[in-house]
Amino acid sequence: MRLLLIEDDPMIGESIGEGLRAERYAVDWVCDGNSAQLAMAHDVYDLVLLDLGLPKRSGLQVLREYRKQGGAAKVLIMTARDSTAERVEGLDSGADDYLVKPFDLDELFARIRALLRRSAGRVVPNIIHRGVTLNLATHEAFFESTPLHLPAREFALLAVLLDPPGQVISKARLEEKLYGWSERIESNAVDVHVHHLRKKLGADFIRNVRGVGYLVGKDE
Amino acid sequence: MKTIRHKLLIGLLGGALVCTLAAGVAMYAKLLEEANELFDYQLRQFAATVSERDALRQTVHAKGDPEENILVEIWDDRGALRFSSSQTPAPVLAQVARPGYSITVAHGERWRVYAERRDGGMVQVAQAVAGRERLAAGIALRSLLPFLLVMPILGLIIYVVVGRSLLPLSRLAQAVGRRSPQALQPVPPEGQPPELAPVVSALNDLLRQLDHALASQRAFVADAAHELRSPLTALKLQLQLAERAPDDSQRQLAFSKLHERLDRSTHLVQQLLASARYEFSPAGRRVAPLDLFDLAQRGVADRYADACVRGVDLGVVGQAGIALVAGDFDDLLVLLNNLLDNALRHAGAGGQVDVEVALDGGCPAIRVTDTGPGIPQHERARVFDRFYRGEGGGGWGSGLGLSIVRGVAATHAAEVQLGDGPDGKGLRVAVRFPSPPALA
Repeated sequence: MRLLLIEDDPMIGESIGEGLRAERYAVDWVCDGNSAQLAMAHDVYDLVLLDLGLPKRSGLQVLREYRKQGGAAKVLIMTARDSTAERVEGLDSGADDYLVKPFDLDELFARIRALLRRSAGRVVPNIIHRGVTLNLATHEAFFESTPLHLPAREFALLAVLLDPPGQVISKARLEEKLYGWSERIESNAVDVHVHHLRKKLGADFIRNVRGVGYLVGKDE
Repeated sequence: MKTIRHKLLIGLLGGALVCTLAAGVAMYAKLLEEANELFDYQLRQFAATVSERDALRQTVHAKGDPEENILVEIWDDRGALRFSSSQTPAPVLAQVARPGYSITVAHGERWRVYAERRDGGMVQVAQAVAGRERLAAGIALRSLLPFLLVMPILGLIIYVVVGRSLLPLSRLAQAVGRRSPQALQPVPPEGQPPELAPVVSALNDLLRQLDHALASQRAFVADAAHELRSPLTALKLQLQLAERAPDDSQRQLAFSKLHERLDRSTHLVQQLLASARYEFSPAGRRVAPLDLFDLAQRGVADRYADACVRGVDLGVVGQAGIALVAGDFDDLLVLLNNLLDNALRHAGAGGQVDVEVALDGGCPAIRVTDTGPGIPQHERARVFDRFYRGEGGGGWGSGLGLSIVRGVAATHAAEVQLGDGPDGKGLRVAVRFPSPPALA
């Protein structure tokens, strides 16, 4: 899952980014309204964490512009503005959730998970498909009820493919979902992860659509 | 303290009484004068008609009024009393020397006498002066009586009129009483009598100033509370990351970042206190003559270690003894420190920061120049606002530095100007103090 963090305070941004990466999200961080707008124009983010008090262009402006352009990613506002009117304005401007600073990292993560779950159309916290269970809160994976030890990237790759299953996702798209800007990507990184996953889940669990990308079939 | 109403009542009523009495005295004098003329004429007529004894007796006795009692004495040519209207055989008055009007004193009484020569003798007609005076006083008192009777009514009218005239004052008092620190709207000047207009306008000025001061204090508290959230959020987040750190080395790192964030929070609180100090309590300065060069040296020495860590070349330009001002050294050091803070932060590694002390058009000035990115023209007016952080600033500062600089400068009647650094790059902040004669 790739998240966009829009936060002008360097210390808050650094801490949240660090925390999110520890939760195995790919995170890009921008510090002002204009950069935020540029970054959001790329439709690769599953979720946007938005601070409202931004230099150059306010967070609400960025949000309204994004929704006007048809941007559909979930947006979670994190701000120090806590009046009811401001919350209402934020939500009415197109935000999906509103979190007031200072907040707990645990709460932030839980809200992120809930938003991502809803965007995938699930109501249960776990992804369960063809014997594979992914617990997104604890990052535990099970296959046929036995624990599966997955490194962070493999877990993330599987989560992308399974949420929801049955869609063909290009290699480029998978790379985008798995890596932030600052991270170096080997040209065959996705192939390597898929290879490892197939060894653990069976060769036909992840199918290759030649020239397009990968797919986890809906049913057997 | 007597009320205005009482004072007016006593003053006006007392005045009216004094005036009435003065009028009475004047009237008495005038009446007396007129009575004298009248009676003198009467005496003369009387003297002319006194000739036959029988008629005389009658006439004299017909005048029953003792005040008009007229005494007639007739003397013959040898100086013997031939006739007296009084019952006593001895003459009441001595024979006067010359004919005409005169005043004679006899038996402790003053008499007005008219004498006329007749048949070699003297006809003397006299009247007691006291009688005339009593008559005049009686008439004067009688004419004053209605005025004196009217006095209580006048008092009542004064009391009521004064009370009504003072009504706007008590209305104003009520209006002021309704004001509170939460609602300091001005008193409407409409419907106020012209005498109260200056009071109302002065009061409204005061209310406006008070309202402004309170509003800016409230805004400051609200801003401060809001601004404290960011460093506290950063602290809280970092603390949670430290708790989650999977191993010692990461925990170490997390804790060092925690210290950094704590320092920032402390810095913000200190800046807030400084800002509050210069904005809301400008009293209590210890003003003394000082050399800006000493200040520059002290400021640079304090920040030298910091500059080394940042890789910035920091130095002083100028010489001692030229730029002398009267000011509070500690406050000015706070000012310089804030300027150096900004300059060092923005100059960046390899940059240069100069503190220059000079006379600028005869005015002592201290200038801090850095080789950083500078401040765009359109932002320059706003950087002095509280909590305004420059667009390129990266958000590390408290946003209070330049606001404090301006606050301190204002207490020294100095002006702060932002300009470009040498060859158009970087930023030069100049603090120009008033020229020495203005200080004296």
